Amino acid sequence: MPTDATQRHENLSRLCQQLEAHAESCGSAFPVSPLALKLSGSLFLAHSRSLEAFSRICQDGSLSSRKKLDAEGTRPLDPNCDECLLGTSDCVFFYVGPFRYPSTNCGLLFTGALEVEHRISGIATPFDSGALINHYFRPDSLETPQEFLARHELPIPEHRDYLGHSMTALFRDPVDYVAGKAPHHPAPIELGEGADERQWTHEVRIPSQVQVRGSVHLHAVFVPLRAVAEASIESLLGACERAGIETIIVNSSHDGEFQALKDRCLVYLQRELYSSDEAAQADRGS
Amino acid sequence: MKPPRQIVDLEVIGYAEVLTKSLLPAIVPPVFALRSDPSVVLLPPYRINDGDLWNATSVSLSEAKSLAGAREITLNPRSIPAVVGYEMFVDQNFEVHYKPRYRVEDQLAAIFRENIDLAEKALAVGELDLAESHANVALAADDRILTPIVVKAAIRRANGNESGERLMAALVANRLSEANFRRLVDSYTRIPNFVPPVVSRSSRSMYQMAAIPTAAIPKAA
Repeated sequence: MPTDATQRHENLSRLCQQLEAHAESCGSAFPVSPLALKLSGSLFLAHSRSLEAFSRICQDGSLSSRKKLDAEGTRPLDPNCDECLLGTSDCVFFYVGPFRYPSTNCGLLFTGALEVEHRISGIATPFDSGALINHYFRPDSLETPQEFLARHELPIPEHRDYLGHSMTALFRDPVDYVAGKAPHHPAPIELGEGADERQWTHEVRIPSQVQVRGSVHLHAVFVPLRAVAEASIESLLGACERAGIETIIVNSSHDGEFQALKDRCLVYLQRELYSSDEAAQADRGS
Repeated sequence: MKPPRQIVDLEVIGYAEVLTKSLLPAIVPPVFALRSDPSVVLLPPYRINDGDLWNATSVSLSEAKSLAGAREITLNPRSIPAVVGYEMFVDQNFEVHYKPRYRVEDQLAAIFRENIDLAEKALAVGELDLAESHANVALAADDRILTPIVVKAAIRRANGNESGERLMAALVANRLSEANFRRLVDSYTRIPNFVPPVVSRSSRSMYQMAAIPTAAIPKAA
């Protein structure tokens, strides 16, 4: 059961206070640095899929939740899946940052304005919620994953305030969050060790469906060149070209297509958000 | 970091893709299971190095079946022993191959050559749908070579689809200038006065570029 707006705002203020106290005890910086402020406010919403799933998205012209796909008979939903157990199966998922969902090779970046459009119904968490079922350790074993999730659901786009604070307080450099380097200081939200960067990457969930074709929030599309063998993908890329939305071709590397997608996205984010940036210079000079 | 699993201790039970006909042939990442305990399934992303599998995501067999049901992965009807240096690919008839890497590369190169040849021949006689279909198979077999994209652009031009032709040029703009791309398309559509450069297919520097169709190269007197 998703939290209501009041509870999400209460969560935000509690987590910010907790982070401030944690930063003080770690001796780390707390006022948000200029680069963290800029990055947390401007990072794109990333959604990546396999080529086959991406071709279906192009046919539909939209991203749909697993529950919606199940209802349409497109893709069956296992009632025991992580999202079903957490009550998030009717959501479309994004990471705030680069593409981080494994085994994917096509990706979409949306601007943060998508969050503003969905501020009433959308929800953020300061971690990938899906791993709560099987992969994270939770400090209180009596608390259910659903209860833990409810305590950490944040309003959008205000969750980016928390992101800016944690980029400053926990990471050696705010850019490390984007690059996927683990925090220098342990996070106050204890989820155990051994998980990957999704453990501290902000997740944004938007109910049911998000428009892709014709969306004013779509910023860039990442695909391998062979994707244009699929007519629906070619059609979407054509529409993007006419709308001035950038298509980035991802060349496969020896480390596989997912690594190539992540690497290409990082280069893109660096170029778009923080290369030769005054805020970055100021941060590193201080 | 978790210790790696040795490839020889694993079996291949499927691949981490669900493919449609238009995306074939395709190299696919295998889904492994432990030979000693097939209920432990290992999924990508992972890294294979020197006979070891690193950083795979471990799930139970029931989770893997659930992922297959949700069309995230494909499970094969029978498991086969994993072999060091082998790669898996699915051909254009959905047949799954698990072979030494060099043989997979050879086979994909053969599929590429056969289909680009068929695409060029179909284009030359105006069978545009057939040309498109063969160009797509060639593109799926090896998208480092730009020839299929040039053929697709020539098909768009023949159909009077200017924006489609422009899109093809835009997609490869970081590897081929618009002018050079246009020249290559011209060579397929037989624009008069076009004298294409003579290109050696074996030249390493041309490996990632489109090859000029043989029909477009003037014969020596």
